Amino acid sequence: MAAASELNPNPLIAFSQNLADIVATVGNSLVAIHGQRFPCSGIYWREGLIVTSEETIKRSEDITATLPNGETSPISLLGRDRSTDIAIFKTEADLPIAPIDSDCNLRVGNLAIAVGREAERGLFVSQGVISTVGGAWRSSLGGYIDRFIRLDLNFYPGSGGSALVNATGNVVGFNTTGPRRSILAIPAATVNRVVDQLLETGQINRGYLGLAMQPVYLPNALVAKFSLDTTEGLMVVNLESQAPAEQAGIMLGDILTQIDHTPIARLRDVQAYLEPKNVGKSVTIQLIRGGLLKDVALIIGDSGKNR
Amino acid sequence: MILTQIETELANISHHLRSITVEIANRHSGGSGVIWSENGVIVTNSHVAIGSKVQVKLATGNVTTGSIIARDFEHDLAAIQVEVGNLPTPTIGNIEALRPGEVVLAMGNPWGFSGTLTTGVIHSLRGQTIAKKKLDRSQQIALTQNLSSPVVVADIRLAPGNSGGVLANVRGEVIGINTAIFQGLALAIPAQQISAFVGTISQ
Repeated sequence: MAAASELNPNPLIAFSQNLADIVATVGNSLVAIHGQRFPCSGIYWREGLIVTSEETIKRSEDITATLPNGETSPISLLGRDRSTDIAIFKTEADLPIAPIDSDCNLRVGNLAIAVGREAERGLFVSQGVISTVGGAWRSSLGGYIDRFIRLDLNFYPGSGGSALVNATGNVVGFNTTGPRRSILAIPAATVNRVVDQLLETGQINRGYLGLAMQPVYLPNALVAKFSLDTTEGLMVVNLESQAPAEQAGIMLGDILTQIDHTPIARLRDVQAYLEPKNVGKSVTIQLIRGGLLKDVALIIGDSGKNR
Repeated sequence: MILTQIETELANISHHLRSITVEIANRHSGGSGVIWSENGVIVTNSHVAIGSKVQVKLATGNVTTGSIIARDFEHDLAAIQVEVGNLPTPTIGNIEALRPGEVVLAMGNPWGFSGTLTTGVIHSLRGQTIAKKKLDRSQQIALTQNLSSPVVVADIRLAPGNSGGVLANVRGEVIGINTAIFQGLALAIPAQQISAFVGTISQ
């Protein structure tokens, strides 16, 4: 770090200075984004490109950002993906690109430094530790996120989209909120991948069925009768008209048990099947209707067209 | 080991901060206070020191009665005189040199637990706007009625009872006294403001 040469012999003072140095450096690449549902921070991720948390974005026009030098500059939305909570903006501002580290080995107990920018507070910080590190996971909308990172730190208004900085001063992701007031980080690797896709298409269209379902337990008799290898299924509680599911002949009250011979017991099992690459693919859905097992052929729709 | 060294430093600072922190109690309220001079001037929040006399419990365990000798409602400050000499005194830190991310420590009596230390970092340097916002929305936990001047904003855990207690930097220097909590953030009246306030008393 910048001040390494003048490291204070007192380790606590050195620690504190190191922290403040890291914050100051990363702060040069952070902007405050206005005109949204909540104030949020943005990271100057690549040349001309700002990354932030999608869940804070409400409108896509007349958006401005406060730059590190205090100036306000217009930015325009380039793309957004709700499933991975990533939105990207184009900016004319010339900022230093944030020091991104997309393949660092995060460990539980590592320092977690959240650095953001807000119009009124300016550069702001909260500090804690990384409390959980897990493997890849899927968001409730089925977005593939490379690592599960939960943070133990305070999350303030405007912290959405703030940079998660590690002890070496690198940006390893951005911070956002998860279910039950948890604070999660979207890893840099996911951001890089999604940014590439968004730059190509502007949005990421996922598979679409037009179904509302809820998990149910199957009666033992039914499981025995059809020798099912699952005891749960998803009951259809709503059908969108003209959507792929209705066109395939799925009806209200059907209990879906398999997609292409893979058991489905939870909504996330279905979400996992609605990967962008599966749009337009024909699948066989096994379902129970009126006590009888039935196979239905269905062509997975495009979320972009059906919204 | 760097961690044991840091731990030793934290313990030393904590010991020093404990020595200058007092507990303040009266019939209506309670909180913390900071010894400001060796001849018995103690500074706290005005909302902590209600009435003309309060009970002051020093870190040594001695309990004495203090008289309120000055108040600054605008900055939620009060000065208490106790008739005890040779008290330990704080070193005043430089507010101008604070940086976001810098480590800070708070000592006080949250929920009545004496001598409680918490650590955190400086959150932002623009305290004034936050303090204003706090007043606008009046989401107050413990507070002054018109906090209008700059405050130090820290990402550190405070609770009722921390009011009037010390906020220090990693050198153990006092940078402010904890005054309010807003959206989980600690707001502290800067040490320079307190020095100015105490300066007006002696004249």
